[in-house]
Amino acid sequence: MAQAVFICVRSNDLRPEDVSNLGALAVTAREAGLTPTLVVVDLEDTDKAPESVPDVFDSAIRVAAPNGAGDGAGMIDALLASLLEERSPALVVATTTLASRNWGPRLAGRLSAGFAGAVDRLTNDGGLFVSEPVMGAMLHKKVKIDRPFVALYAGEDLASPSATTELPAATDPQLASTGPRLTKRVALPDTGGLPLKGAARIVSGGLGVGSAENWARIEEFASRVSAAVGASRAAVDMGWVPSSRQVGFSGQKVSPDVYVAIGISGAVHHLAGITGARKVVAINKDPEAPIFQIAEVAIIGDYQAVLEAAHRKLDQA
Amino acid sequence: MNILVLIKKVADPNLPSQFVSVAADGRSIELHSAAQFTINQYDLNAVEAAIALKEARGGTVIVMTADDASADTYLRRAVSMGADRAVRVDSAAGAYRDPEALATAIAGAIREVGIPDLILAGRQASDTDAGHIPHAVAVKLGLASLSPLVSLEVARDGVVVAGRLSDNSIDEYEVDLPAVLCVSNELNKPRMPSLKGVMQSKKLPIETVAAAVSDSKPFDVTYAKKDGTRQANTVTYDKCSDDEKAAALLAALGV
Repeated sequence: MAQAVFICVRSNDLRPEDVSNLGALAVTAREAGLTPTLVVVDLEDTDKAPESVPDVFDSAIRVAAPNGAGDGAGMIDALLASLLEERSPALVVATTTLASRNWGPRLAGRLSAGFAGAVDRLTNDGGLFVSEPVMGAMLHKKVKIDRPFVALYAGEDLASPSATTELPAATDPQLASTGPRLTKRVALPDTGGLPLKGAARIVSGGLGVGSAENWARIEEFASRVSAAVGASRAAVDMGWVPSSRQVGFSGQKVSPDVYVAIGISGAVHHLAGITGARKVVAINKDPEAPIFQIAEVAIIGDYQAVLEAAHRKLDQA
Repeated sequence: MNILVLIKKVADPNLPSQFVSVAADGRSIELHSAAQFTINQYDLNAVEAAIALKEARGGTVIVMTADDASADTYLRRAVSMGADRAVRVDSAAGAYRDPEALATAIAGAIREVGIPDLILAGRQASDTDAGHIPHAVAVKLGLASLSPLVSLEVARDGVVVAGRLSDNSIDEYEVDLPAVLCVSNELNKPRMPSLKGVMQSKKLPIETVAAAVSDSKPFDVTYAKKDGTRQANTVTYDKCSDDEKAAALLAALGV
């Protein structure tokens, strides 16, 4: 029977939810008539990585990336191609990350497979389909998987199959990789440190913040209320904040309990990143800003004055 | 150093959603006749990177796109920034629907003009956000490819150091050339064309290459307009004091 191969790249950045999602997607693949199998790839630092996987796979193997592979962007496709070529998988699934967006399309090229990098749905519906948003999330594209395909999943966290099982046994590390040589990893100049993914509160800034100096106010406030810092594409383009903080169609999709949008107009491609937010609070000088149409709390005014007042209130508490 | 930059014409990323619809059979995207187009923004960073490398180390820059003649104006934009040659892989407007055929066409055209020392592209195009084709082209040409780059320097002849954005770090790689590198906007600020550049771009003939034929079949694809936007019961704070606004903000945050 045709295989659906699920790739679980283990590192200290791997969330248990990412592993559950692969399990849930494997159940859908099985319902569509494919045999789900699991390939676990261990990167260097895995001491905090999940230690179990959903018990839904017919078989599982585990390989170690060579030392110096970093996040695997430069070599996982080569590592997997040799493993997968003999299996001729009908479908390969992994989680969307900056690294998999590098090795994923390369793997698709090596397997002569189709590719989708931000799948939000895998459906079994008279055939197996992947769907992903396109055109700044204005449209949804649905592709029928009737030939080999590599899909990276970037959708919401799925209800996980409850039974789990241990990781397969580790194998010896692979030989040194060819291709680009990783020489240095420099930690990102991060802002407050709270990751966007999974954050309950996010304070996000846009062009209306006004300047790089003013950006500090966004970070201060976010830190004060234990929120992760996000940004619109415009703020990233201005160089005020690294692109890892970008929320939107081209950036992170977030689903916090509260999303505070400061100086963000609310263009469609930004809104595409926050459809999962339970409550949106928007602060903007422009009463016509589209963001107000989708905000539960609309604050029209000067964000600096509002944040100063907020800090005062918190000082008094 | 000879460099080739891949560019793509895309619909304006700020297109109002009323301008975008789906054909009756669901099999293609239709844009309102008033829709504007532009060069993919990340591709401008790629062109700028190529011109800067040429200014530092000499060589030529070829800009290439796979599209119909409506994309020529974007090739000329790159020429006005300093590219030396403009090559269009003559493709029907719908070629993007079959990425395999598109990658085959581009790889074939690059072989025809001669594989350069370095191929640059933007990290993803704003219509698909896929970041697929440059990697597919790299695999077809047997080259390494890295994405998304925030820094790029020449280490020595035939080797560059590429800073790639990872989730928590910027990872530097030594890359043997030729290779395909996809750049992000952190890399540089694209220059405005000079008057001389604009004049030159008007005179330069656009070279065309016939698209190499691929025997791939496109996937079965349908499109749909996204489900309705979220409806919010909005409570508005406008004429009240900053203190009241701050109270509403903190209450919403639950602090």
